[in-house]
Amino acid sequence: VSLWQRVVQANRPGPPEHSVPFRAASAAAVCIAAAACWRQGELSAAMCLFTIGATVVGNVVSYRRRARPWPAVKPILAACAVGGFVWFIATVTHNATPGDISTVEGPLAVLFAWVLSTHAFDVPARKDVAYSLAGSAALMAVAAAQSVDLSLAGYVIGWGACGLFGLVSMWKSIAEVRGVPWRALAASTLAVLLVGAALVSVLPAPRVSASLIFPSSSAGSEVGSPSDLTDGAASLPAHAADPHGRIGVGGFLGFARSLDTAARDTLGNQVVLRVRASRPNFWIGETYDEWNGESWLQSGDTSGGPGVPQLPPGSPFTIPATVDEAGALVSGPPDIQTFFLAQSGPNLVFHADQAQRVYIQSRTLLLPGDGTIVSSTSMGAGTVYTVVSDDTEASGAQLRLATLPGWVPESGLAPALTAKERRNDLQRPHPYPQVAALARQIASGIPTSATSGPRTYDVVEAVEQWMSSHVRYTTDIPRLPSGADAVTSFLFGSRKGYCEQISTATVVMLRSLGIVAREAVGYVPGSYNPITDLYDVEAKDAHAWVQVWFPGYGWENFDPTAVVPLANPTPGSVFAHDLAKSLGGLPWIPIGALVLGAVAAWTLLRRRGRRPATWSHQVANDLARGGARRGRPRRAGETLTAYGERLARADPGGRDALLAVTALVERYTYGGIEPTAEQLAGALAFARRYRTTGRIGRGGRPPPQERASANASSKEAPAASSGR
Amino acid sequence: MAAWAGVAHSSGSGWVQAVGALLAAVLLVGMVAPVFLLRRVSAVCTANPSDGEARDRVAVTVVTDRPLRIRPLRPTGPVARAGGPARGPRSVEVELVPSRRGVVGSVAVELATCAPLGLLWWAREVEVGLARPLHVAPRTGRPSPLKVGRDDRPGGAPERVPAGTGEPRGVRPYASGDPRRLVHWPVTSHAGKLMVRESERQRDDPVTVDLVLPHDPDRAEAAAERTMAQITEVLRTGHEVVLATDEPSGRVTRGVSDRVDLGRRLARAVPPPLVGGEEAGPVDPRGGERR
Repeated sequence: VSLWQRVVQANRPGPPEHSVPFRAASAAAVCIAAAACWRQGELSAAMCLFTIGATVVGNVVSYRRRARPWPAVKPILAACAVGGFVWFIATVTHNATPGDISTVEGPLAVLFAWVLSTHAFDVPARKDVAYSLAGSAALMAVAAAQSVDLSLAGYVIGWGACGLFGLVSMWKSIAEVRGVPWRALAASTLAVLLVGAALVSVLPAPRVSASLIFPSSSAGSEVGSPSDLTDGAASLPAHAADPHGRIGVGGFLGFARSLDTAARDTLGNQVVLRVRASRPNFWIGETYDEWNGESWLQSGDTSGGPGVPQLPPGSPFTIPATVDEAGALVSGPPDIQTFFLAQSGPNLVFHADQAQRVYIQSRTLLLPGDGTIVSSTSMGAGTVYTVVSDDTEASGAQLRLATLPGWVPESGLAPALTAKERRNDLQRPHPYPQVAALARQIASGIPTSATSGPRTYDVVEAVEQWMSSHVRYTTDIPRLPSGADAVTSFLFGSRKGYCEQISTATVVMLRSLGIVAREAVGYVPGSYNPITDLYDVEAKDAHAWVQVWFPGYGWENFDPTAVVPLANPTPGSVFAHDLAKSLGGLPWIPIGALVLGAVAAWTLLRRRGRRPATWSHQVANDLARGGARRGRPRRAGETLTAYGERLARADPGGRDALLAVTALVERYTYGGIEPTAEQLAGALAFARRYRTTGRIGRGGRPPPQERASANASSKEAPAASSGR
Repeated sequence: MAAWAGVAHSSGSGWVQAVGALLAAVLLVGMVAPVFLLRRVSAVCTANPSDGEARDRVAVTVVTDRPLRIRPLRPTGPVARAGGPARGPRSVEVELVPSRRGVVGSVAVELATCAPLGLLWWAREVEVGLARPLHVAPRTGRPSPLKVGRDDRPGGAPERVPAGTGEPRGVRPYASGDPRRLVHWPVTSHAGKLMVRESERQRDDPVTVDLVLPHDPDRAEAAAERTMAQITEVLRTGHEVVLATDEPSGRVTRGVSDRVDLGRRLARAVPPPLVGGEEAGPVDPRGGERR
């Protein structure tokens, strides 16, 4: 068979497909996929309605003409397909941004919807309907690529159900099966769900690619003037738009000009942003360097516009690297983070350390110089932006070397901290003699060399260690008395607190030892959703931690609170954890009682179903089971009398009894001769004994009537007696 | 699916990966489930005819416990589908077209299913025992000219046997099925019960066919077909036939009562065992049959 013949054979129209459920499920799958694309903004409402309408009408027409398809329909559909491709190429050529897949997905969804809509008019055969069903997967893929939350779940479930029902209907049609194969449907659904869950668990987590740029569109409107967002100062976008300089995001008041450690609202569980990131990280919002005993403040000139550098307009914004960030570390893979804001928040651009590029629909970005990136665009719900960071962590050994006397960074560059910055980052409102003594006591336990004192990294680790063993984490702490110092109260009082108290005390202790440190606030990764591949960052994931300056490496993050796991989760572990958590919350005692009751009822019903209908069945069953125990199971088609004789040959001692019982049963079964109550009881008792005991031997007792005849027989022929 | 997984993995979209996992699960279940279903399937032949003819269709009834596609392999036959309800046993007529004569005790069939999703067919070959042996007679070939000679041996009067026509032999009591015209009314009135005339004809010596099949299957089949045609013609003329064949149990020489019996004998016939590497017995160079 030549290749051409194979092609012709493959394209030969198949027999008409008569299954209406198969067609209906296929059309429904296409409609649901189109609706999902509309829900994700990939299809307009008009295009979605057109797709649904054309799919339904096309399938009806195809079904009615399945035996005699119109000859002209194929050329027309081919022309439609070619037209669709031409439109797609033209649209992508003119509108798509190279490397930005988001600009291709929209036209791609329209192309898929167009092809499926027109194809619906030519689905006479089974394989055509199957193609239509398979094509809906492409639409679902486009919708799935854009979904960042669980709202797509309903569409996926509906599409999957239609697909499975369609496939089962196709099998029904192939195998000429009548009726609805509920068991096949349920079993295949269960199997697909189990295998799908296993695959999701086993497959490695989706990895953010460095070659694809994520959507950078913003739902927020660009503000006409930065003063629209300020809290009075005209030139700089503020972090908050209320006169007090505070904004509460899910209850957290930290993203402002100041961080009051004495005030804290109850943080909620609402998702404030979702992050798709290459790896979990500290997503920093802003830093503080000035501590007044109760609150952290920013000492920078946040109100003077000229002092704050602005980046040239136009996304992507390139963040200039500091001298230290260009230091000794080998650059690893970039950490690409895409933030999807679920709630309005401060116009801070959260990011991992050492941001290099920011893709955001903003007129400009401002860099106050403390690691904070501020947008001039409002950051409303729906805002999406992408940050590419080169967050390469230095190892402990490298950081230890960095503070050796006379150590010169490999980059050969001098430290980037100015004297003013250094002074600010060592600032304390008062000497803190108790705190300094405690810090010195902690540092004294660190082994030192003869030429130098304790190294900065070791000191930070020692303080962290001390915190972990002497401080108890709780958010339920009394409000700080007026005029009291938060650090002193925390370290020499209850020693109970949360991240703000712990990190603040750490910074003050380090500063008292002459180590440059500051307070940082932002978010840490929340729960990882393996379905959306997003970290769902909730309000309670707002966090405060410590940044310590290392020459040559810049600001390094330390988390003395140490309550946030930073291990990269795998979908399997997350799935197992969530499953265990969900199962653990179930009311197991009532469920167990219910299951036990169901099992007991099922057992009773099953035993009742197995109960013999009449006493003769009971006797026959007992004899068969007893015979099987003796290695002589009843053969198929063997009469009870024949079976009894065969058993009697193997067990001569019980011959009379066996034959009497089988005769009694056969007389009743086929002759309708009712036994007396005594005979009945005797037969049942004998059969039960025969079933339960290994051998009856000479102990076998026939039923009374037969016993009488046996007695009579023994009188006439003692030699034939059973020897009783 | 690999491309899908690659795109999902590199694009970082969890939903794409989830939908891809769902698709992969559907494909996996659709491709693997038939294997497990086939392992549990059963097919039993509940009825089949005892006789058939080579290259002619013979329908056997097969009962299966789930929807299947049944393709007879040995003997071959057209595909049959065991459809019907989704659950429970169902019977299907499977047509066999044996290419050669022989005694068929079991049929090799290919059971195939694509349940429950119809994505991929899996097949398993099983041997289904027939409810009773099927004797496949050879096709009726072209009879070679056969001259049936008269018994001209000297001796007494030839044995005569009752016959429907011929010379009068006597009367006998009426038996159910006797033609009314044979009733002999005078004897009936004399005897008080219905009596009919009985005729007789001269009994010939049976025609003896000694069939020695060659070992070449094609030649053996051709010989059997000619024998089938030849003996059928002889039987049609009313002569008795004694057929000698080799059967697996040994040499069998026995009379042939009718065409069905002839077909069975020829179905069972096998070539004689080889003696010293050569075919035993005389072989007709025209095809192995001799008289």
